[in-house]
Amino acid sequence: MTNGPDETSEAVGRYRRLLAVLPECYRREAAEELCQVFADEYADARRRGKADVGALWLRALADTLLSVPGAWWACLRENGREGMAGWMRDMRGGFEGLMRRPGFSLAVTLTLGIGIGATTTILSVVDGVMLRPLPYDAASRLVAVGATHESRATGEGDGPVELERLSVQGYAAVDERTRSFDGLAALEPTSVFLADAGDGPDEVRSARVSSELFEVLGVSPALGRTFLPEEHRADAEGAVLITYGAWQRRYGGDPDVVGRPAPRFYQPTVIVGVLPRDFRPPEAFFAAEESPEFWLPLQPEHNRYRNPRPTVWVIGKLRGGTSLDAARDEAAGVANELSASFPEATALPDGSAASIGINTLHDQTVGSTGGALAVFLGSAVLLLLLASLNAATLFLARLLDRGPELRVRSALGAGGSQIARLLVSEACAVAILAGALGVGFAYGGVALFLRYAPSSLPNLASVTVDARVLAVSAFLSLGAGLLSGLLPAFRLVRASRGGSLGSAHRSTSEAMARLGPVLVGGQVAVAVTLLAGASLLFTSFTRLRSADPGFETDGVITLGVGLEGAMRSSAPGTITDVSQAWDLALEGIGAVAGVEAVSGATSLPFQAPSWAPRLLLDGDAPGTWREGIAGYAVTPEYFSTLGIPRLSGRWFDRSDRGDTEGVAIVNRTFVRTQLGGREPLDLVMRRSDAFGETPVRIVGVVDDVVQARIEDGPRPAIYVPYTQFTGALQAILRTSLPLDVIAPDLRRAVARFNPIEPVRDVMAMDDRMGAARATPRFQSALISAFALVAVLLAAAGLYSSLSHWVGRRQRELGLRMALGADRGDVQRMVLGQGLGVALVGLLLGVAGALASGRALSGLLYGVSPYDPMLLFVAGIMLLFVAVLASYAPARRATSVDPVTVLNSQ
Amino acid sequence: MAESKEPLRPLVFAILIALNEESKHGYGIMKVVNEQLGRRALLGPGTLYRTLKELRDEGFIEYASSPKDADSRRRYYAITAEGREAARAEAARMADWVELARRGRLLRGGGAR
Repeated sequence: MTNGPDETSEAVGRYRRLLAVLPECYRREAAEELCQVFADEYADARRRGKADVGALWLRALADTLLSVPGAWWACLRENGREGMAGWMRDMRGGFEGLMRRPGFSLAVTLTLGIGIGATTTILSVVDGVMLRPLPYDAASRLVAVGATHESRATGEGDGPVELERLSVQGYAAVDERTRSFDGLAALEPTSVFLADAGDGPDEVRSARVSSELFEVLGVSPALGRTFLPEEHRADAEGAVLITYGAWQRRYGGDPDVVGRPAPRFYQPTVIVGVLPRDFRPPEAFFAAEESPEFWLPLQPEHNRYRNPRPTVWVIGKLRGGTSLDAARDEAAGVANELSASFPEATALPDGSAASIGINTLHDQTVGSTGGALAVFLGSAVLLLLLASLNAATLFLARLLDRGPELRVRSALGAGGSQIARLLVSEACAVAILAGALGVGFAYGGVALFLRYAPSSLPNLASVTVDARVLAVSAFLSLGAGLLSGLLPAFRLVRASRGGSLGSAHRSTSEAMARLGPVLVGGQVAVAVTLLAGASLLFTSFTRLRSADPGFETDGVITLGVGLEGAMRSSAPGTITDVSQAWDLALEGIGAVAGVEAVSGATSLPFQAPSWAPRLLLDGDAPGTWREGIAGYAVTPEYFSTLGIPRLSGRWFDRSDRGDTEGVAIVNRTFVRTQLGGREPLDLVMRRSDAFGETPVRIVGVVDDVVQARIEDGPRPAIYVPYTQFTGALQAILRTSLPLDVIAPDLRRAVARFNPIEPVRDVMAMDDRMGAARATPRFQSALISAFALVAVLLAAAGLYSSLSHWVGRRQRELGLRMALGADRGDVQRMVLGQGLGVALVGLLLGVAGALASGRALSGLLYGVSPYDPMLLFVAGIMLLFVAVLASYAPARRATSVDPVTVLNSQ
Repeated sequence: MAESKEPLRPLVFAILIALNEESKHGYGIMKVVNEQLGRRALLGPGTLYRTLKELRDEGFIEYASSPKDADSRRRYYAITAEGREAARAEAARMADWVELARRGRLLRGGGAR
């Protein structure tokens, strides 16, 4: 190791230049000692090997950057303004340097600003949606408790389990028999109907909650009180807590609202309190736009006549020191005890056997949005990387152009380190400007994101550009600006040691000119990765859009009709059972002018099926119920209204009544997945649900229709006549009139039949379908925007790098042409240079795209994440852009007169 | 600054312990402390310098003359009486906790004090 000391002192010299980012007064005091410690560290690391030296450099970089704020502060405090003066002078020099080259400054600031803006935007979203604690006291101890499939009760690892609402009895049992909780609260989303105030009756989203809820969430009313124990009894007088919004909107912010009877309630109800302004209902159970306005006391006996097995969502607060696992074990134990004595208590809403599961409320709220956000964040970081490479290209070109200026400075006595400080100051100035611009972009970006984000994303109310995110983006801008600006500067200073700056600049130029293609290739690679991702998401979205939902959506309008009001307001004896009430309601709707067909169903296409009966086929072992099959109770006209094709058998008709044989129609996927080649028609199965067990005979087979989402693919379904299952129907009608023309007539027709409950959700099927596609459309649009910016930046990088190359080679090119090379040769040479770089970048980018395919696979429909055709198209698109970007420089290379060029030098 | 009834940060405590044995130069402190704490508490020269400056301002440590055979460019640090007092108070405080833990049956009895 003869060159040992030399190598160390060289490294220390490099480190000393890194210290140029610290203010001068600090360096004056500390530099010697810092360098000495670094030298000791370096000598040690070198003895241990190359890897340790690399790690040491990374550490030293982070250590120095982290020291910047403290050093500033120390200088400010100790030396006052004077100590800062040197640094300020440097910075002013930096800004002045930028002012002298507005084109360069604008390009590099804009480039970095875009990268920082995109990253800051997505970071804000990720922070608000996933990282920030929920807005409740002791949020980390809040959990959701619910029924879950037995096998998954304790979760796979620590992950969340899929929860459903728990029966009221199950809730009571957990409350009584466990010790893991400081409080358990039940809540049930519901609706309240307000009497006609002139424009028809009004439906208000509401929640029934147990009295513990406000305590568990740590919410106390802004006015009044929460519920008293006696208000939870079924015979109690109505009490309601209203949200701050409802107080302002419906009661004009009246300060004396508490204790007032709430007008227009159908039963006497008193407002007992107003919830605080910043209260946000748990989004795990209420989507943000369905946030309840009225909060009523849960009365366990209240709904018994309508629903024999009422279920509730349960929120608990873990006792301090109790782990989630311990609580899960305890709840599963309770479920075990119950399964012997009282199985219904833990059954899922569809009646199937279950256990009791627990998730943190945060997991329950955030759900599966993590995957999509990770893709967004990854894309934003790639964009920032690309922007940094692009900025480095610009800095590099700038440095190469500055030969004469730097030579003059050197002649005037500036040393290498002074020149380096000038370059560092400029890089800092760029970082500051780009950071400010990026933060501006981020504010705009977050506003845009919130405007267009699908409402299925939880916690959007928490998404803001806040101090934490700003701190991260400040760090990013400093890092990106300094790295892209310093890389060339270091090289120059290193080369200047021992020689004149002029020769240093020349030798640096050679080395840096070789670095250019690497930087551009990197940009192309990142752009290809993003472009491939965007084309995957876009293709997936178009396939989704053109996928056949299995029925005619044109001219179909759906609406929700309540029966309770009709049954309560009709003369005694006129309506004897629920299906008769439906007949009346649908008859009224069918009589509206312009309605061509009308029918009813318990669930609609593009809606999660509300009913899932369990089935037992002939030959199945007793007790091995088949689950996960969507159930629909429909009127006979359902299939014809939606134009669902029949494959075999018959439709339902008016002779299928509650007192005749149980019948069913199944879909194509049911036959394929459940029957294993058996003839479906006349097959008899046992059907079981919350209401009991009945035999049903398959009388027909229809084609598949989309259920909740097209992405889920075809799923088995069973249809039964509405007379043989009790459940709330939604009306479906076909008309050639536009929605807004026919909607008032529909409302009037329903109001005649049911004066209490208003019509809900009058919606065109096309809009329902559009809403179901909002999330994939948003994902594809966002990533496409990133990819577009990426391609533009990469093209700009390629263009500027090539132009620069041509500028520097003008003499050589002129010579070639003077010696007889024709224009085509020279143009091909320049194009070849550009395409060569692009091709290398392309290959790297394809590797990147393949690597990122896995991350995307969860968001794709009908397209493989490794689709070779799409990769090919993305590659061709990028090569095309590369040719475009190379074309102008190539033209310029041949546009000069060789004689002029040769004479000029 | 003898009113340091506040618990010392582990990093500060470790530095004082390291210097109590003998005066050391910067990198010597860094090596011992990172080893003691089992993590990179002192990331690099900048972090080290900042912490040592803080301790000097508090009067816990001071510059020391270099040993005879040492490289004269290295700056040596020594603990002051105040620093020793603060470290001792911290150690006593910890010992009290250990005693408490023992009484609360968290630790087995016996052991040296």
